[in-house]
Amino acid sequence: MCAHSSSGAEITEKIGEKLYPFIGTLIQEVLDYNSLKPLPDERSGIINRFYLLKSEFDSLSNYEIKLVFPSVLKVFNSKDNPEAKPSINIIELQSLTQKKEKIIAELVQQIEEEAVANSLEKSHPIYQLIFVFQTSFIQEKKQWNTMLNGWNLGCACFMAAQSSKEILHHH
Amino acid sequence: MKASNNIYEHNCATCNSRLHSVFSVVSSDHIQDLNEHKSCSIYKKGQIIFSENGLPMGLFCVNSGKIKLSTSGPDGKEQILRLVKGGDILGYRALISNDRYHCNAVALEDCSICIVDKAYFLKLAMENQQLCTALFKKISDDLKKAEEHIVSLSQKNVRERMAEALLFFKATYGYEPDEKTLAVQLSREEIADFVGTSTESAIRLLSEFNNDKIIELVGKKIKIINPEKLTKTANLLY
Repeated sequence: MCAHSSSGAEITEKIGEKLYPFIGTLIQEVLDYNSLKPLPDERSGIINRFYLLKSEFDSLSNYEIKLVFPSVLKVFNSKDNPEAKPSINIIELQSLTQKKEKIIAELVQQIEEEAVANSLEKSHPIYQLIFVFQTSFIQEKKQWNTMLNGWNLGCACFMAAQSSKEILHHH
Repeated sequence: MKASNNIYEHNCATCNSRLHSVFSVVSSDHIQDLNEHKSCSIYKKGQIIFSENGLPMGLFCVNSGKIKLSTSGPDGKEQILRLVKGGDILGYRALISNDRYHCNAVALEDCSICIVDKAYFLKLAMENQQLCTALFKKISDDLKKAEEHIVSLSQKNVRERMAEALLFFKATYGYEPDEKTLAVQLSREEIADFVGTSTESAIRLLSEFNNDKIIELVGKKIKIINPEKLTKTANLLY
């Protein structure tokens, strides 16, 4: 097993089993709050954007938990068994997930701007959601992407996975 | 433009906000001149700075406070375009393009704002290359933000999501030796789950992609025959 395996397992567990379920709880709180106290029409832009954010977050977490994280861990775990090496394209996957992260960050900023501009009450749970996206989400995803970049450059398992892709490509 | 009675003295030479604005590139020789072609006012919270369809009389330079730029959608609902703060300039689009304002500017809190005379500003921008470059950069940055905004606002339709899912499958599982067929066989239910749609919609979309010659369905397998079109359909600018 690769030496990077434990750090990979640790960060994917932190994001997939702690951060994402926590964000899911906060999203549910906003939904519950909005069904009890729906925002008036002039503030409906906030909730419309919130639904876009929810949709993009659900999609990102779905891909990461079901495809990206297991595939990355599989690269490490297949170190001693090259035949089991997955044909994952890490760079392409990272590109796809980073694009989604960027859309999420944009939506969070737009929601915050609208909430402030519309003087949304400070007790609204959407502020807590914004805060978690702007702090924990950004930090954890930055750490994850830094680790992925590091593995791409310095981990033999990853480099082997990429070079096997290139060989396939040339053929 | 609604005028404020709270006119006050403010010197460009000692203005901290100017150092964060496009006028930071203007040399000290021109600062005094700039100072003589502007007046400053205090706008109270909720006060209108300019209104949609109004004619621009000058360039607004925000010294302090937050301002909301908004317009009305076809349904009459207010659509906030962006917030501006100290160091930002306002009304330059209408001024430069010799157009009317396309949005409303309203003070979200008490603001101090200077207005630079229209003719003087346009002359200065034409004569001062550094200011002209700073304005180009400002307008280009605005355009970039607006374009990113459009992409993030336009909710991905289900067709885009299907294309995105196929790109994820390609990056995760790769191709079979023919370099076209995805090296994974997912059920239509599993694909629908990734796309976030019903199985029926997923089947219909795959069939559409097949007809559009983006993919080829070979039994349960999916062959990507036009990856460029697939990427374009996914609307992922990467």
